[in-house]
Amino acid sequence: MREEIINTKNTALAQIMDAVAEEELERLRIEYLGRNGKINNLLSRIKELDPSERKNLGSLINESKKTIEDAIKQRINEFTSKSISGSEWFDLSIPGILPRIGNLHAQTKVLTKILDIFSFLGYRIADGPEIEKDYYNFEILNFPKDHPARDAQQTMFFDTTGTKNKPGELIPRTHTSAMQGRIMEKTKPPFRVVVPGRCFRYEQVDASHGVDFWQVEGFAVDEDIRFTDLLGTIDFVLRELFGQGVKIRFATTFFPFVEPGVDTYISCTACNGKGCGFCKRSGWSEVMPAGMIHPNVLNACKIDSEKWRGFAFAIGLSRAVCLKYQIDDIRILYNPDIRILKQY
Amino acid sequence: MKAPILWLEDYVKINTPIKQLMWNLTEIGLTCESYETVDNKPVLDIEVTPNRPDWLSITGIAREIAFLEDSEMALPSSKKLTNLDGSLPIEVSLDPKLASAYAGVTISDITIEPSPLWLQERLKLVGLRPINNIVDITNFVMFELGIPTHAFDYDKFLTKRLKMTLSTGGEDFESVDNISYKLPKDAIIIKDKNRVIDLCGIKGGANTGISQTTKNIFIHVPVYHPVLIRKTSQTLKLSSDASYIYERSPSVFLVDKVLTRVTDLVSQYAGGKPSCLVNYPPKTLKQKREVNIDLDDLNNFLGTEILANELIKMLKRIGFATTISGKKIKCQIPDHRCDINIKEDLYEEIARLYRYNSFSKTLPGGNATQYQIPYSYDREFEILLKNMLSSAGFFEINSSALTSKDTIIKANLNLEIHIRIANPASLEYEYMRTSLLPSLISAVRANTNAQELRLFEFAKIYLGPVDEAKEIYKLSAVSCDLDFRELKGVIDFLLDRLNINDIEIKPVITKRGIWHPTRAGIIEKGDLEIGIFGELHPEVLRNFSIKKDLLAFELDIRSLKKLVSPSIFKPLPKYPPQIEDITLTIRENTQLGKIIKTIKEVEMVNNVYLVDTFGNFVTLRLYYSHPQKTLSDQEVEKIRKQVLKEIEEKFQAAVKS
Repeated sequence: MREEIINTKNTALAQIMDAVAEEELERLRIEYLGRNGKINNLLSRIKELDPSERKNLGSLINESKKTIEDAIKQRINEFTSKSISGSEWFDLSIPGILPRIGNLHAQTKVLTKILDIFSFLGYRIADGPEIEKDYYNFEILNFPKDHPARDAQQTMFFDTTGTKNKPGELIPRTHTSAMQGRIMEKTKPPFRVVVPGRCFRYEQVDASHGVDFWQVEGFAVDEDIRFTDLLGTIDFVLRELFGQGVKIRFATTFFPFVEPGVDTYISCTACNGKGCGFCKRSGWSEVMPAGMIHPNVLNACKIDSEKWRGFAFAIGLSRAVCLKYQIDDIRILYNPDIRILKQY
Repeated sequence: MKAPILWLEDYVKINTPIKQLMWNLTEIGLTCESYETVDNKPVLDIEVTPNRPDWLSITGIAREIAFLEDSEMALPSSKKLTNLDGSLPIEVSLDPKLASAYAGVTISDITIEPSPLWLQERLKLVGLRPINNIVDITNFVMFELGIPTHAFDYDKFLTKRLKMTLSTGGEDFESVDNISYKLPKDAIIIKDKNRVIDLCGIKGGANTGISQTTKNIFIHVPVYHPVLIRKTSQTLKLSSDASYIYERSPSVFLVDKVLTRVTDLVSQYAGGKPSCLVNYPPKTLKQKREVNIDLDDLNNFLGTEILANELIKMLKRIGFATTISGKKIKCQIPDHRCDINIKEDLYEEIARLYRYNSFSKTLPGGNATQYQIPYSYDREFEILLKNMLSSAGFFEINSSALTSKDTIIKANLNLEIHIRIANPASLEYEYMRTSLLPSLISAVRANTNAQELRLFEFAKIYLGPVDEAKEIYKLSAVSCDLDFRELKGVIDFLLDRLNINDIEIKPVITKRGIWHPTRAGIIEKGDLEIGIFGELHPEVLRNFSIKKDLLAFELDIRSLKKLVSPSIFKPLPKYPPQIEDITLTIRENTQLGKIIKTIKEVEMVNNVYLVDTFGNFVTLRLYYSHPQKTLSDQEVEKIRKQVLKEIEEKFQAAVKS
């Protein structure tokens, strides 16, 4: 039997060495090492032998098995390395096939970023009506009727024929600030809220004006809110949004519902303030009007202005999107050309 | 407001280069983004906010520049009017409800001639055409001091007793520039006898205007009620430099000063002697105008550590006198300021002079929102839906909420339920949209050359009537490359991810004009309508010139939100299912969805998929399984029999032989 074992091993090794293809090796592996292969066959016959021989021959069979295994493994490696190190032609430059996946609009992406920043700062998100009462859009915000302050917000009016409302009482809201009164009159401070949404103005549509556009309103009311908290919040938010390198500057301005009023400018996202075609040489863009909430507004919402203070701000979302993507015409945001949608 | 540097320099020395000056002005509230050059001289273009009528004057702007330049301002000096000879008597009956302050003077023996060149130059720089010395002086002083003035030809008065009153409506009036108007009701006017001689605060009358032969004049300096002026100006669609100032409530404390300045200039450049004075001081003149602030409160409000003496110095430089006792500071408001009423107004003043960009920046401490806020919005849900559509190959578009009558009609929608804008900026934006589909169809039209187009929009629609308006979020999509089953697959995928099962689909049938009457269905669960999907009405597609086959859906977000349930982990089955394909012969017009639903309801049938359809044959793949054991062939046979029995009974369908 010893001779049979050695013969089997040698035949196997010879066949392995002669193999010209990987498939042949697999066939040999089954022939010798498979469940019903020659090695197992030899092993099964061992128990017929005299016990004194069993041990020696058993280890001889196992050694042979190991030798055959190694030989096959080695030859397989040879084949593999031959095929991958050889002169095989493979075109890596061939274009990929794109997965069929759509895209979100730039405005959704920028708004998500903005809301993430505010949620980090502890703000809640709210959403409210776009068909608004003059009361919430103007009156509660300290815009008296027939005051020139209203001129800054060219207003459209709904046709109220056949309703109990007087002409001018119902309007498409001109700013998301209309949500200040709605939320504050129903909420006890302290609170921090952001309200994204659509706004409407009586405008001739051009590169920088739309009849409807988006804002993100925000306001916070607490006991010890300071003016520097407002400036710090704006600074933090704009740096998170536009990058730490953005330059920010503040200026005094007037809105009836804040005192003091703040205008915020950021350096042009294309030229960083030097002046270029994108920013029409100005170098700066006004993005985030703000201010400390006027005590008249707090009081109108039944919040004691002696005890509570707050600030409010609005981000021109449509403009922020334009700045972020260096879009020089606000109308692009409403353009559904797929070649544009793929760029966001 | 146009502010020529040359004119500003009459009162203040400017050392800062113009670009820097413009930003400095902007920072303290006088937004100045550009300047123009007139006759080679720079003229600043300043946006004046409606709270600061004092900045509608060259001296008002010069005062701010003096602060910025840290220098003194030289105001024109003028003596009190004396030596009135009384030769030209005048009486004006006034109404404090119409004009809260008023001053006027008659001047005799003036000579009309061109005004001096320096004065003409300044008027030209602000865009005014020089006329003659008297008219030019009144304009010059309005620009210089910010209160309008007007000169009448005294000899043209029919009576020396003038009366200020409100128009009753319908009066004829011819302005100095010879334009005729029919006056509206409640315009402030001045009458002599029964003639209207002044449309107050807007334009003077031709009947008493200054001419080449004018010898004696009456000049007045009123401050009118802002709302009355604004209403008249809006009704007549007529505004002037004067009405612009009056609408913004200029200070009532300056009329005497302004009158003196005009009179001085008239004496100097037109000769003449002041004769009779009309003086109507504001009622509040004698009151002390003060705002008290507390230094600690100020610093707490601003987040600063401003010291008392710093503060006093700062305020003094813009004309506020202060008295201090401990931490309390009394601030006296200067005559030219009528916008300071409460401590916060003064805090802004201080913050502005401290310069906004000098403040440190902090974040609020304190408490985060503790209460569930009203109007709270689940944006996560919106983003979940948008992401699902995007991963199904759809691109998001944004479009206007406003639409045109033309589009509504083209889309077969009901114009009646649309909310209308009474004063649309353009007819393209006249109605609030009641469906997102027209925008999506137009978007397809705009992408004529794109072959594989899948678009969606997530936005509100608006349903009238306007006084009970409903604003409803919808998710709508269109595709020109998916077939019916693929589009339905998108909806199935969406509903599956939201764990919304057991929906029903009903044909649209009813008149929903934009949808195909038979190839579109309403998706429902219980009483709740989830949305509509399918083909659009061929007529609509033709109206929009769409040549592609379009499939669409519009889902209601509120319904989805009501039905969504969270995903709960289910352990994987321990025992493998038995899987088999069955090919059935079905009758015509059998709804496959119903067959599959019926089979699914059979016990131990875990899942059923449609593999293929061919003519009246349909192949289904059935998964049988039991939670506690592997089913034997005999057990499977029993289930299969049950399945076949059910569909035989309900649909007369049988296994293909």
